[in-house]
Amino acid sequence: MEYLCAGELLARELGSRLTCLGHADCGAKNEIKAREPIRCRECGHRIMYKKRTKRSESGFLMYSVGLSNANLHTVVQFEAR
Amino acid sequence: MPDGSSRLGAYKHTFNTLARERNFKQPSDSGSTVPILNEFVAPHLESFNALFDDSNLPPGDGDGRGLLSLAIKDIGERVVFDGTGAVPSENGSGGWGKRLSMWIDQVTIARPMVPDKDRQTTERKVYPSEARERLTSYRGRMTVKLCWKLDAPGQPVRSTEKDCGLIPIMVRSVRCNLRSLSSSELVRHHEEPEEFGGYFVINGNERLIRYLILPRRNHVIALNRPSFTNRGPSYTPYAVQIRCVRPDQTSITNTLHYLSNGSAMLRFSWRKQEYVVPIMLVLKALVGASDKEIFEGVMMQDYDNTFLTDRVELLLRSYKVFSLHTGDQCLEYLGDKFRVVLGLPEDWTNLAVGAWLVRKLVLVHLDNPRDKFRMLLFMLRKLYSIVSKTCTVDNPDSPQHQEVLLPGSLYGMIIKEKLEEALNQFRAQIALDVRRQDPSVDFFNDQYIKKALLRVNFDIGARLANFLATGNLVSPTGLDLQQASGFTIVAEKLNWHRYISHFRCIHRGAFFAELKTTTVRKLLPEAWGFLCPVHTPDGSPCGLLNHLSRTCRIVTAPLAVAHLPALLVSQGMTQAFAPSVDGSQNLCVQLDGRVIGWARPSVAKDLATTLRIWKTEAKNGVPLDLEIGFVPSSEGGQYPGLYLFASRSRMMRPVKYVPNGRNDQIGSFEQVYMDIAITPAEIEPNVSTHVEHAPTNFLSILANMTPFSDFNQSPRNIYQCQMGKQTMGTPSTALKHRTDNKLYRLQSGQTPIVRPSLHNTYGMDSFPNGTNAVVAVISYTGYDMEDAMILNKSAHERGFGYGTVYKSQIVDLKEQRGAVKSTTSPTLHFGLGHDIYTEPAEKAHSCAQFLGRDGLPFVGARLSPGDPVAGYMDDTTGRTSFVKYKGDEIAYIDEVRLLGSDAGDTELQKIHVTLRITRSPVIGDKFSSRHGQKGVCSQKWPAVDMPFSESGIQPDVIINPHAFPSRMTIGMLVESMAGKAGAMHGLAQDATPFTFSESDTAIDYFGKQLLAAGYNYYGSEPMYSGITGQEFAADIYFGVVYYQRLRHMVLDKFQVRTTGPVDPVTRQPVKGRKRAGGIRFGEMERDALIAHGTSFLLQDRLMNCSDYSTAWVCRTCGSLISLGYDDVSLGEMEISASHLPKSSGPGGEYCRTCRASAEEEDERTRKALATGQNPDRLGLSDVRVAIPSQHVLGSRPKGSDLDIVAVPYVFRYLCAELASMGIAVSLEVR
Repeated sequence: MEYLCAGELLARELGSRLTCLGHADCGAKNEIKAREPIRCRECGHRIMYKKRTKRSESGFLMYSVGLSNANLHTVVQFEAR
Repeated sequence: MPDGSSRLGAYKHTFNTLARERNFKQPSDSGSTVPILNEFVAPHLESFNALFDDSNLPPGDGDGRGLLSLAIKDIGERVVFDGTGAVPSENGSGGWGKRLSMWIDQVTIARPMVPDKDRQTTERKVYPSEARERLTSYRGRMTVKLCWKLDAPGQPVRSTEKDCGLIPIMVRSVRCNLRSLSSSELVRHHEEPEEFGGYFVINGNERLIRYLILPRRNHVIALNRPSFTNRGPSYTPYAVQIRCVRPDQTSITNTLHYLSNGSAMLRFSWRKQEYVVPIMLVLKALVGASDKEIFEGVMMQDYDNTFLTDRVELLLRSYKVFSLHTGDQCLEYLGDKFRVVLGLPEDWTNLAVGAWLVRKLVLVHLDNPRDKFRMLLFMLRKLYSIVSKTCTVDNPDSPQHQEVLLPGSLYGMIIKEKLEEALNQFRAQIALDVRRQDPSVDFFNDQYIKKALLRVNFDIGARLANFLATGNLVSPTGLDLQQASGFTIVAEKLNWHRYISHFRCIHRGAFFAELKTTTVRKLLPEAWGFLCPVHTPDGSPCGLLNHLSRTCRIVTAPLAVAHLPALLVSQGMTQAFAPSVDGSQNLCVQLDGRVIGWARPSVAKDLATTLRIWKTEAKNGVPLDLEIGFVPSSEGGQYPGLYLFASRSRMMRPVKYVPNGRNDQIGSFEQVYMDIAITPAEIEPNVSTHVEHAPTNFLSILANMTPFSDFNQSPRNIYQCQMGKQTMGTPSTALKHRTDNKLYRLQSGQTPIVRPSLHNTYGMDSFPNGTNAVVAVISYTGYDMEDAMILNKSAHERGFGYGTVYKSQIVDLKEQRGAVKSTTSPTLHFGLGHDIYTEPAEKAHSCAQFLGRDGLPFVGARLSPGDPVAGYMDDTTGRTSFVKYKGDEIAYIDEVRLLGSDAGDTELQKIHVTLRITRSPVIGDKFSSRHGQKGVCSQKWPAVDMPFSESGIQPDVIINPHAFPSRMTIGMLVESMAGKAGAMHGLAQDATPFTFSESDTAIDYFGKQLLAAGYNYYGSEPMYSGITGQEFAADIYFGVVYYQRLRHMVLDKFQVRTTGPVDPVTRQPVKGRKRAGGIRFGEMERDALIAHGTSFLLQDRLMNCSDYSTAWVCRTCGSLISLGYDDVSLGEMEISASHLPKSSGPGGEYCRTCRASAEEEDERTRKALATGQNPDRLGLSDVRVAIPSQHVLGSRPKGSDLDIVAVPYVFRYLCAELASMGIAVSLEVR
C-alpha cells in the first residue's frame, strides 16, 4: 500500500527533489507493506497519510488479476460533497 | 461621503484586504505577522526560559544563572557515613566512619530530538506538530551530573551523568525547536503563522499551566483571622504574614502570631508540618541580640507609647523561663529540638543544625542574619501596631497584596523537588546498605556507588508529564501552595478567542472555590487595569477565574537594584543600621522585603517621586519595572512605609507619567496610592500624576473585541465574553495538522464590518468568528418570541453560518482485545485477513466499501453509525475484527494518519482518523450577536415570504424588538447602523469603546453616514410584507450586525424517547442522552400533575411509560412474592402428600405460603383425628369426616385465591428486597 509522508524536508534537499515548489513538505510516496515499520524512506519521518484514492493498490491489483482492464483503471474517487 | 478623518486619525477605515491576503499567502520571513501575540504569552515563555542558564533574560543582580542552577545550589549536598554511630572502640572502628557527601552539580535539558537509535532520519529535531499528530508528548532529555566525594584529604570528586528521562518542553521556549522562528518558517513546520507557544504538548493535547494568584512575596501583610484563636490557648486573631521567596522562586511562608500575653510566636512549616517557635528565641538565635537591643529595636525611641512598652516588657519577661541567654545557646536549643525532623548529617552539632534551620526556614529571602533580625523587628512593630489599632489589617483578596505564580516557576519548583527527592533516595539507599551491614558497601569503590545509584528512581520526566497531564501536584512539601490539583488546563482550540483567553486567565486558587463567603470573588477597585472587570465567567467560577487586562504585564526578568540603597541614602534616607531612629517619626524603607533604611514621611515622599522620575527617564540605573509603593502615614490606615519591589511575578501595566510625559510601569501595590486619570481631559492639576494611555486598557483582549461595549448594560458585555468563547469560528489555520478531539469550524467566516481597532492589532482577521448578517428588528412571523430568531432560508442556502465539526477517532491496537502486552512483536495487525473478500464485488464483504486491504478506511468514505473504521487481524485466532464508528451522525473520513513510533522502527499499531461531520444550521441551533443577545433559530423562512426594503434587500436574520428594552444593548443598535453605513460606503467601522461623547454622539456620526448613503438618519427603513406586499405601518430598524454561530447545536442536545433501554434492576427507563434514556419526571413535576388533576397523564408518565408490570397477589395473605405454578397444561392435577388434588387458580397458579399453611393445617387436623384429640377448629369439632377445603362451597380453596394487579416493577423489587430483610409486605386487595 502506498502512503504519503507527513514530514518536512530540510531546506538543502529541496533543490534536488521535485516537490511542489515553495512547499517544503516531503510528501514522498512510500510503499509500506503490512508489518513493515512506519518510516519514510526519504526523510525518516514517522507519520504517514493515507492517499485519497483507491487506485494503484498493489494488494488490490493482485486480487483483480483476470478482471477486465477497464475495471482496473477506473478511478474510484469520492465525489466532493 | 463622510470620511472618518474627523474622528481618530489613527484608525484607517479600511479592511486592509490586500495586506491581509499578502500575509496569508506569504507569511513574514523575518518576524511574526502579528507581533503582539508573542508579547502576551511572554510571562509563560520567559518564566520557562528563566529555568535555564542561557535564558537570554537580563541577569539583574545575579550572575544570570537559571532557576535550575540556583535550585541545585539550594538543595546542597547530602552526607552518608559507613559507620553506625556506635561509640568508637579502641581500634578505631565504630563511630560514624567515612563520610561520603553527594550533590547534583549540573542539570541539562536538551531540545526534543529523534532518539539516537534511529539513524535514517534526516531531520534530527522533533517539532511540536509531530508530537501533536503522533499523539505523543513534546519532550527533551534531561540529564544531571551527580557528584560524590569522600570527605577525606586527597580524595577526588567523582561524578556520573544520570539520565532523568524526557521532560515536557514548553513550545517556543528556549528549549523548543520553534524558538524565534519567523511566521513563514512556522508554517513550514506545520504551525500557524501566528503560533505563539506557551503550552506543552502532552499525549497530543495542548496543556498549559494556568496563572495562579499568590500572596505578594517579601511583603508583610497584617491579618485578622478569627480562626487563629483555634491554634491554641492565648492565641489571638492577630498575625502578620510574609511569603518569602528564595532566588530559585521556591517560597516559605512565615507567620508571626500575637498572643494574648503580649508575646509573639513565629510559625513556619517544614514538609507540610507546622512548627511554632517563640519569636524571642529566633531573634536571639539570629544575631545573639541582647534584651536591650531587642527592646530598643522594637521601641525605636517611642518610649511614651505605653502600649508598646508593656508588650515588649512582657515579651522579654516571658522569655526568661527558657534561660537561654546567648545566641549560640538559642541555636543549640533549636538544633536539639529540630534535629530529628530536619534529617541533616549526623555529625553536625546542634549549633550547626540550629543555624541551618534559621537560615533555611526563617525569612528565606534574606541571606544576612542581621537583615532577618531587622525584618523580624519590623514585623513585630507592625503586629503591635495592628493590635493597638493604629493601623488596619491588609486585605489578602486585593490585588495590592497579590502576585502571580508563573508557569515556569512552578515547573522549576517541581523539578527542584524531584531532584532533591532523588538525591535523598540516593543517600537513603547507601544508608540502608550501611544499616544492613551489606558487605558490598565500599565508599572507595565507584562500582558500588553506581550500583546504589541504579536503584534510585531518577525518572523525573514521567513525573512532570504526569503533573502536566493531570494537573495534580504530588509533593512531600506542598511547595507552600494551598492546593494540590488543578494547576493545568487544556488549551482548547474551540475558536481563536477561547484559545488566546487560556493564556491570559488567572485563577484565585482551588481553595477559594469552596469558600462559602463571596468576599474573595468581589471586584475590587485595586484590580483596575490588572484584571478585566468584564471577562469572568458567570456561575461557580465567577470572580475566581479572571483574565488579565490587555496591557497588564507580568515581570519575568530579574532587575538590577543592588545600587538602590546607596542611591537612596544619597537622597536623604537614614541607613538601616543607624543607632537611634525615632520609629514614630520615621517610615521604614524596604526593598524586596529587606529593611534598607528609614526616612521621615516628607523625605520618603520625595524619595518616591525622585525614584519615579529617574525610572521613567532611565536615569541612575533605576529600572522601569521597579515598583515604588509609598504608603503615607494615616490615622488607622495601612501601615505606612516606602516599599520598593523589584522582584519577578508582579503584575505591572503601562501608564503615562504626567510630569514628564514619559511611559511609566505601575504595579498593583503602588497603584492604590496613585491618582491616575482615564483621559487627558480628566487630569486634575497637582492631583493626577498619571494618565492612561488608552481608556480601554483595563479591558481584556476579548472584552476589547466587543464593539461599542460602552453603550451596553454591563452584564451583556460579560455574556458576550462568554459567548465569544463558545462560538463556532476558525480554530486554527493549520487544521490539516491538528488532532484535537473536537474542532468546530465555521466555513463562511467574515471579517466584521464593525470592529474595534484592536481587531487588527491582534490579527483577528486570520480567525474569523462569525458572519455579517442583515438584521431586521421586527415582529413578523410570530416565530421569534422569547429570543428566537428567523433565518432567511436563502441566506442559509448561500452558506450563512455553515459549520463543520472535526472529531478524532484513535485506533490503537495495543488497547484492543486480544492484544498481547510486553512482547516485542505485536499479535494484532492492521489489514483485512484472507477471511474477508473484497473481490469480486458481489461476493465482497460489507466492509469493503469503507476499508482497503490495509484495514484502513478510505479517505472521503461516508460513515454511518456502526460502520467499520478499521480492520485488524489477530495472529492467534486468524480472524479479522473491525473497529466501529461510534458516533450517531453521518461522518466523512477526512484524514487517515498512520502513526509510527518514536524511533520509527515498529510496524503500524496506531492510527488517527479525522472525521468530518457537516453541521448546516438547523432549527434549534444557537446564534448570537456580539452583545450578549443570543437566540435560537426557530424557522428557516422562505425568501419569498421575507419582508423586503425599498431597495429590495431582505434580512438574513429577523429578531424580535422585545430583545432590546429590558436588556439595553444599545451597542447592538449602534452596530446595526454602523454596519449598514459601513457596508454601503465600503468602510471598516471603528467600534472602539469610549470614543464618542455626549457632544459627539455615535448616532449622529453614523446617522450622517446613513443619510449620505440615501438612508434614513436613524437606521430604519420602510419595509414591505413578503406575503402581502403591503408596506408596514411602521419603519423597520434594519442594518448589518455581525452574528456568531454558537457551538450549542440541537443535534448534540436533542433527547427523545418513547421506548428504549431500561435499567435491569428497576425496569425503569435509564437516564442520559447518550444511552437513549429519558428525562426524569421528578417529584415536583408529579406535584404539578396532581395539582392539575390530570390523573390519566400521571398514570401514563409514572406507570405506563415507566416500569408498568402486572403481578399476582394473594388475596389471602396479600403477598406479591409467593407465586407458584402447577403445571395444568395437560389437565392434570397434582396430588399432594395428603393424596388430594392441590388447589390452584385457572392457570395453575397458587400462593406458596398460603398452600403450605393450609397443608400444614390439614396435616394437623388429620393427626388430631388419628389420635382422637380435638382439633382446634371449633366449627368442625363435632364433625368426624374431614372434607378437603376445595370441596367446601362458598370459600375459595386455600392458596389459590390470587389476583392480577398492575404495580410498578420497582415495587415488586422492593417487596423482594424487604423479604430478604425478613419484612413481609401485605397488600390488601379489594
